Amino acid sequence: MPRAERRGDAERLRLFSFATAEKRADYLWVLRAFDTARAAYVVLLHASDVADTLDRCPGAPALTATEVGPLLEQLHQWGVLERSYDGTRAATLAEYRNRHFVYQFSQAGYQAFRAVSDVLEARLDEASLSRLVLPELLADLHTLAEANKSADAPRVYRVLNRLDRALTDLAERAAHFYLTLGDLVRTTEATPEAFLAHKDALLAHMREFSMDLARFAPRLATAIREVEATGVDDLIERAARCDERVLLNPAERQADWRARWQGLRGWFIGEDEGGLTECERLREATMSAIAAVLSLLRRVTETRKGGVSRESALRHLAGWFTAAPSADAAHALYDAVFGLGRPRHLSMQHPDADVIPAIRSWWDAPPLEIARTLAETGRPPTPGAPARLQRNDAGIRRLRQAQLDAQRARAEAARSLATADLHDRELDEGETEVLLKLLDAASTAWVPVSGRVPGTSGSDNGVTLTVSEHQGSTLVRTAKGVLYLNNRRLEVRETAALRGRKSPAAKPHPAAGSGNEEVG
Amino acid sequence: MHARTIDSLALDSYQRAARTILANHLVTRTYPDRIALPLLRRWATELREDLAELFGYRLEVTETTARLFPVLDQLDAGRPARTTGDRVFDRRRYAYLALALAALGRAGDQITLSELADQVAAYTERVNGLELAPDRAADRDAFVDAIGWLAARGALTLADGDAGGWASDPEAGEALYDIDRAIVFALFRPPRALQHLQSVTGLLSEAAGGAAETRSPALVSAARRVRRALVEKPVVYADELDEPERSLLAQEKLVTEVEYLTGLRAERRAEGVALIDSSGRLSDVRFPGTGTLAQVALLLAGEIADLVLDIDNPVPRRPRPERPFTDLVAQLDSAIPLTTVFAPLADPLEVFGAQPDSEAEVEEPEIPEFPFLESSWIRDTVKMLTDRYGNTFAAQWQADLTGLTGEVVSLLERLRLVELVDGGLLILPALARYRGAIVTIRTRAESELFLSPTQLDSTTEHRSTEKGSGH
Repeated sequence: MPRAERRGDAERLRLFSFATAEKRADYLWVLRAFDTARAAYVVLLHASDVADTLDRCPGAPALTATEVGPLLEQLHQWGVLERSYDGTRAATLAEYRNRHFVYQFSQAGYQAFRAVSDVLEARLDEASLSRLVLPELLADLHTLAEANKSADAPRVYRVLNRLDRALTDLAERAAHFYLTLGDLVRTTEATPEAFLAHKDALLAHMREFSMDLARFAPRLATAIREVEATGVDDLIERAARCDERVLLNPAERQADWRARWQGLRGWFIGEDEGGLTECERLREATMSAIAAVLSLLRRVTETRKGGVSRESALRHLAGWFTAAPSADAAHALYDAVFGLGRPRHLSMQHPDADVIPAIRSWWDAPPLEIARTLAETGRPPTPGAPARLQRNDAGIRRLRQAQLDAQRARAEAARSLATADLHDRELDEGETEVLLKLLDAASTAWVPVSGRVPGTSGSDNGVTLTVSEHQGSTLVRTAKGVLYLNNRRLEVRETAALRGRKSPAAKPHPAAGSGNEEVG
Repeated sequence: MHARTIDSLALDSYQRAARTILANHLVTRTYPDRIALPLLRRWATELREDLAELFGYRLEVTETTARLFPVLDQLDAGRPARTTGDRVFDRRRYAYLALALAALGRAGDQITLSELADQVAAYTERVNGLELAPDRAADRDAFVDAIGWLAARGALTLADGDAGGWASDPEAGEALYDIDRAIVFALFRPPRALQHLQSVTGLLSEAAGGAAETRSPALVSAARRVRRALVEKPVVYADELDEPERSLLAQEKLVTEVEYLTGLRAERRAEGVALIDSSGRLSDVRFPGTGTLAQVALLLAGEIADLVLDIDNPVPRRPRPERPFTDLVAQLDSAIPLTTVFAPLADPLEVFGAQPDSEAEVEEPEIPEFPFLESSWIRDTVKMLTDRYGNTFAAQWQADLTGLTGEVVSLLERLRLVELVDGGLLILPALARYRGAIVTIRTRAESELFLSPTQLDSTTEHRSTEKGSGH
């Protein structure tokens, strides 16, 4: 079934082929000739008749009957024209050949031609809503109710037909109107002149239509209910009985009229109570169209405001930005023109702001208390434990500097101590100090474990002092005097770990004893 | 002034409204958030009068937008437009922005990104040196940045598609925007018709050029200038002001008025006044704040203060150089596109009449001097800070020491804590607020008593072993 429909559609669409064919202008003129003849109730035309008719039409191309012939034939192929044999007697052979066929519009072909010529003749800027049709509809509905009540079938048919046409007209005009209005509103090139010329009429027209619609809609709805009260089935049966479309069977006619009545009803009453009726939709569309027209109006006037148009000012500004010699200048221009810059302020208040006198210098006033996390890591302080900064940081730093210096000096001394044998030279003050400290460290571990201490060691500053057993006494000459040691010999060397720091093998198990750790 | 008469229970709400409009200048149904506009509408009348009285600002509140038209006293290059990704606009983006606004002014309710781009491209043909070629990726990116700026402020609302897709491939991507006309028109409302200007100073307040103020006496406009400085700038230093303004700044009344309106507290010191934004909402940067730049700036401020305060090693001092803002003025004046100046109505170019007067008034007050630090010291200190705290820095800054130094100094300068001069920095007094911000990390601090942490670790361990073997 759908395939058959599609074939039917394709057949019908072929009717329009003349509108796109290469010789479409000629085809159109030929069909116009038929249309002209039809107005004079001449239906059948011969090729020469067509040529004659075209001669009389202003603006038509001068086609001879011979030229017209193939055109007619092609139109017949497309189904626009019906072809039949010419019944009149031919006098000559040539005449017989030429007059072989006469043509007339096919039904569908005529529709196709009308459709095309409607499109060609349509004036697109002509759009209006018809509000005069509303009282007419109301009167017709009353008549309809009466006619149905008095069982006047022909009258029912006539009135129903008129109602149907009036409503169709209303819907078509409305659709057309909003289409045109939409084009007008959507355009980005609304010129004030074009708009201002029509705006009053346009707005008044829409407002009046909308008001009329609002006024008539309830009355029309009531009238429809009155008609329904007289019996819809009877109404449709009567209308269908008088329907002159002889080619439709009664059931089809009834269905057609029922559909039309439903359409009419839907316009003013609606299928279910919740939904919008067509009439309400139309009213809403009118309202929003009024809003659209007003916003268009605003747009048009806004561009006009203030002598120089905003648009040209912005173009000027774009040029100014582009020509700005530096990015800073552009930033400054942006700030000055748009005025959108945010203010800038320091944050964090002093907790005891009130007690600091206003005449005190910033350098003398107490500084802020800054969360340690913020300064250390740049992350916001966690609400848990707000650790404060220690305020005597500078003092701590100075102390630490002194410690570091001392430490460095000692490390230097220790290293020089380790470079050569202790007993062969005189130690300077720093070296002596390191040596004594090392001895001190070593002596804290000088505890006999198995009755006899073979040796001990102390290390600091990267050097290790090894105290080993020695026959007789040894002496160390220092800057402060001579140090005598009984049965002990001292040896200072750089700590092995320090030399082989990189090797992971020097990772022994941790042993007890922080006793010999010497901290300065 | 209304703020004084408002009930104390409602005052907070009023001050919030004042802060919102002062911080944004444009408030819409959705920008900066949904509650801002209702709040402003509630206080529209009082705010309009207070803002006009205190600052000379004009406030317009409609159903859909609130717009504050500020008065600028001088050009400021420090508040550029930023993309949604927080990058600073360049000249091309500014120009696209202006042209997109022009195109939107005549568009309907909706527009697609490519239509808008076409219109802007058509405009660029009439602007020298500007072009928008939709087949060039860089142009598309710049254009999308400008559109993003408009979208962030609600002038455009994305209805469908996405701009990023168009930027990466205009054939495949597309975006549809709803246009909010009220915002489009509120965004661009310059104080004077731009084409009538022959100098950018025409956009500034009366004192800096243009028409002389006749309505209000000089003192009133001077007071407004001071209040504007208070509410807009991080620190107002007395030595930058001329005489009537300086004594106005010293008045408690004037500062209190600003405090009352904004709900912020001012910090008054001998050198000047700073309005302190404890909420972080009335400021485009927050300092001290989070992030590496703020962190390093804070640490650097601490180091600077430490050095300046060290009485054993006095730091050289220098007077502040004369900083004429006419530099930017001259740059911009030279850039005015003369072809589109609307000559018949153009303002005659005014030579500053007031300038010689004010110079004559200055009768050699003692020129304050500020501690001066050399750039090399700043560089070294930032390096030292990086060595010490580098592992807490954002990755991009850890290696880029030069960039970090530049950004940190520029942050301090924007906050008016230092001033950039040839060869170094002048230290401005408000920096002292942040002195003592030297931070130690405890674990490191102990280790520093010895040679170096690496040496120490291995030494300790080794020593323990040796002692063990000694038994």
